[in-house]
Amino acid sequence: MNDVQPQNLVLSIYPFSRGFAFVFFEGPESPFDWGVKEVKEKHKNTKTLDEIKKLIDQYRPEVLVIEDTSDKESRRNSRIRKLYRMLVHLAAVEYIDLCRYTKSQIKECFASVGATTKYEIAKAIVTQIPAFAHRIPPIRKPWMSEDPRQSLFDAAALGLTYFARNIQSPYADGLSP
Amino acid sequence: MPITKANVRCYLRTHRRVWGLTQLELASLLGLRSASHLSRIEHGKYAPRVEVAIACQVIFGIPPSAMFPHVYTLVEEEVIRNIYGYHLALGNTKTLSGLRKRQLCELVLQRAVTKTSHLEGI
Repeated sequence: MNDVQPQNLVLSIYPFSRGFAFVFFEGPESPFDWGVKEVKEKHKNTKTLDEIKKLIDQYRPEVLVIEDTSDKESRRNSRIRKLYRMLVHLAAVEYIDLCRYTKSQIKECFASVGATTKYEIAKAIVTQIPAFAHRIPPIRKPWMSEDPRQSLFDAAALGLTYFARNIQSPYADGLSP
Repeated sequence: MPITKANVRCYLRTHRRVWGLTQLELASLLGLRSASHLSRIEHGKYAPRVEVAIACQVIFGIPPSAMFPHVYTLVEEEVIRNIYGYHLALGNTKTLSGLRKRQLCELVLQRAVTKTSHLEGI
């Protein structure tokens, strides 16, 4: 018998200077859809929000995961911080659960596999999700600007942090030996 | 269930992208006319022909019911409705072939009921 009931989707979004990256997850090892959308227009936040709204209307995710910029380590600019505030409002309007994780929470999540830098985290993600293997950017040198593909891994890291913090191990309740 | 934008969950795009194939490449592998035709299938605007669904299984090893769950659900609901009507029509039959047909209908309906209860907790 085929189980065709679709699973709930988790949408993680990571905006960057030239647009935003998104990943829809069905589970920690099963991404459903992903991509990097470039926004080149003048009113970037409005256009970005429109694009995200389209994605939400298309797939109706249950949870939206974005970065928490209240952390001291966060260095996101005012436009991105404003976009996050708009996303919080959008999630409330669309009745989508919102989860926010700081940079340090993401690093803490990936520290268990020995990944601390963005590149190492991207490598750890590829180990878990081979579908992203051909999208991994080269190691960034000090004189290079960030590769747009990196934002895809930043979005994936947010989604995986959500699963790591919300899926309890059956052995974690203290009842098992 | 009508196909609306919110409930279309086609996995063809996911599997195509997992393997790094472009729409044009997969369209040519599936024997489709164009990439836009494939795009419409991926977005649930067209239901795939049986040849395309089988070709997808040949390429990715995923059965059509798992690759195109929205199409499967539509077809299943229509068939279950027909089977239910047919089962009612066979109500007073006494012939051996009629009883055999009723047995099939009951088996199909039983499968549908089991599946619904199986999914309730999800």
